[in-house]
Amino acid sequence: MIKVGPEDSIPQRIEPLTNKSINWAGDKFFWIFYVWIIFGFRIFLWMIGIEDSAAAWTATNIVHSVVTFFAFHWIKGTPFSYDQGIYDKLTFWEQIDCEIQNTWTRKFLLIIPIVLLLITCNHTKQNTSLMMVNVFFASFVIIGKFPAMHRVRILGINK
Amino acid sequence: MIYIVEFIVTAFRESPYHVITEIFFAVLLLVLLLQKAHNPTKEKPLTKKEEDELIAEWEPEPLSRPLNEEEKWELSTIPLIESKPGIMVTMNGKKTLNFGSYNFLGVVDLPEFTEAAKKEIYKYGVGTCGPRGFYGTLQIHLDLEQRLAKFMGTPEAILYAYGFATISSAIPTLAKRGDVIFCDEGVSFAVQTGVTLSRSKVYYFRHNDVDHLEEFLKLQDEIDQKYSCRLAIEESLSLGVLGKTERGICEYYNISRDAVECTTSSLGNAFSSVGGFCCGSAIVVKQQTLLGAGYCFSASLPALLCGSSLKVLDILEHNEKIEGPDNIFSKLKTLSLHFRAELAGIHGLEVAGDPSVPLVHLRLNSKTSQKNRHKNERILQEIVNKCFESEYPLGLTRAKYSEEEYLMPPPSIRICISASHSKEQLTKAAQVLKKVAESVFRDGISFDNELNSNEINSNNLDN
Repeated sequence: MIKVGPEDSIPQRIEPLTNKSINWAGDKFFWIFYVWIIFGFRIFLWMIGIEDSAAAWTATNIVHSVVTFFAFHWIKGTPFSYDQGIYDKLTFWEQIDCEIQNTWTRKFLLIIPIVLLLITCNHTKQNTSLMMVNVFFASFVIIGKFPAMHRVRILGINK
Repeated sequence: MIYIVEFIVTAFRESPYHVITEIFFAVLLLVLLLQKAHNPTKEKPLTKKEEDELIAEWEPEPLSRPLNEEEKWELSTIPLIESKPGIMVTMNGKKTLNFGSYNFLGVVDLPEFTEAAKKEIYKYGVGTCGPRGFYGTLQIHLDLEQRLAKFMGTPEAILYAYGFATISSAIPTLAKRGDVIFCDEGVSFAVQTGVTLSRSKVYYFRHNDVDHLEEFLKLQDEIDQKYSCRLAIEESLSLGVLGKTERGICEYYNISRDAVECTTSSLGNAFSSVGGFCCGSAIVVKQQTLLGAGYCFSASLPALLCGSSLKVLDILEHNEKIEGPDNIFSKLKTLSLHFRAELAGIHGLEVAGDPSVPLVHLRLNSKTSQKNRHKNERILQEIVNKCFESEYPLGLTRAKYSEEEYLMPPPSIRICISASHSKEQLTKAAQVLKKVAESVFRDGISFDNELNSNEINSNNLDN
């Protein structure tokens, strides 16, 4: 595992947060929207006629995992050029709250995939292999949010 | 409670893996939720008692701290200049032969030089009262930029009001965070400031060591798979001095100016004015009109200084037509060679620098140089003082550097030869220097109590 070192000094004491690409992550409206869109997807699947709740929840879980892994843990840097690239090596997740771990924003964003996984496991009681698939996909996003994985790049991927 | 346990047990019997997984993740959730927010930067709040203690023992620092002994001495060595710094300058009340000004072209004494500046004062007044973007651009700025671009043979040029700010504003417009700069160790402090401000990764290679640079480039090549570099040259001391038509180092080495991305120079040295300019391709220059900090946020160059720079350009262009010994470049070359030849055999000092260059650094040689830099400065200052007090007074100066230089050059006396110096003046000056050096290294120096004058004597050997 290769650790991406803090070569550039990223200001730790910025209040208010000036990193506009993530300072909306603490907004409660964003939290509500996030939960709403997950359930919205599930309801959408119900509306287009997928009756099998296990399959629908699995689909929700997998789509959520893939999308949030890409958005939170793969894309690095910010879409703005005025910060001169100091966040260029950090993913969205690592930039939240100026790299402070275990803030409530991070805890919330960590709860969501775990709770989603629990719900999905509950619905796939009969089908163990489907549950394993769910666990596999969700584990990417859950493990990526551990504090121990801050600034860690496994095997140099996405350095 | 029992119902929960019953429920779990029945569920376990049904599908064990499922229950294990669920319980694992539920426990994980709880554990992670209970972890405290880890903010390493926030300090613990102080108790009232601690606060009171800190306030009681706080003493305000002085607005400017008192100088230590070395600094006081350094301040006392600065002379008072009471006349125009031409070939002769009145220093501390005495008329001396000026070797301290970068008056390479010898224009400071020319009457047409001051007339050109006076003409602009009558036309434009003294100051411009604004930066270039806000009512500070005069026609003469544009004229000077065009003339400079034409002189250097580049498409465009841009003018700055402060020589130091020229290169330290130009570099950050070309390189930023994430870029790589390979810089010579011995560059001036202005260039060092520029590369630091650019926030790029800087690799300093040993002074004039091309092999070391090549090592760095090869390393970069491995990273980037390409070998493309842009060259930026700072020509404050070579413009107006090197090259058959004084066009700087590219002409001296017969390289096309197009190979250099960005050339900067201060107008305060050979051009005997104030300010600086940067020349290069249209993109490089236009970029600086928007991003150059010294261009956008400082008042523009006063018209009188533009006028004098234009006059110097006229003189240089007139000089191109002159062949033979009256050509400024050949004059400077002969005078430098002559001076260095006259200085050969000087006691205790070594003459540093390329022989045909009019900037001479006199350093202490390995036998007379002390370990303590301040002692070396004292010895050189003693030589400077004695030259000032001799019957043929010389206006010498030691080279001064910032404390924050990357590579601190050894202490030296910096002698600038001008094209208006005559051979006789240089011969006499060299004789004075030799006499003074001999007497200083023979008799020793009276230092303050902390410095031991015996050390100087014991280190003195013949040459």
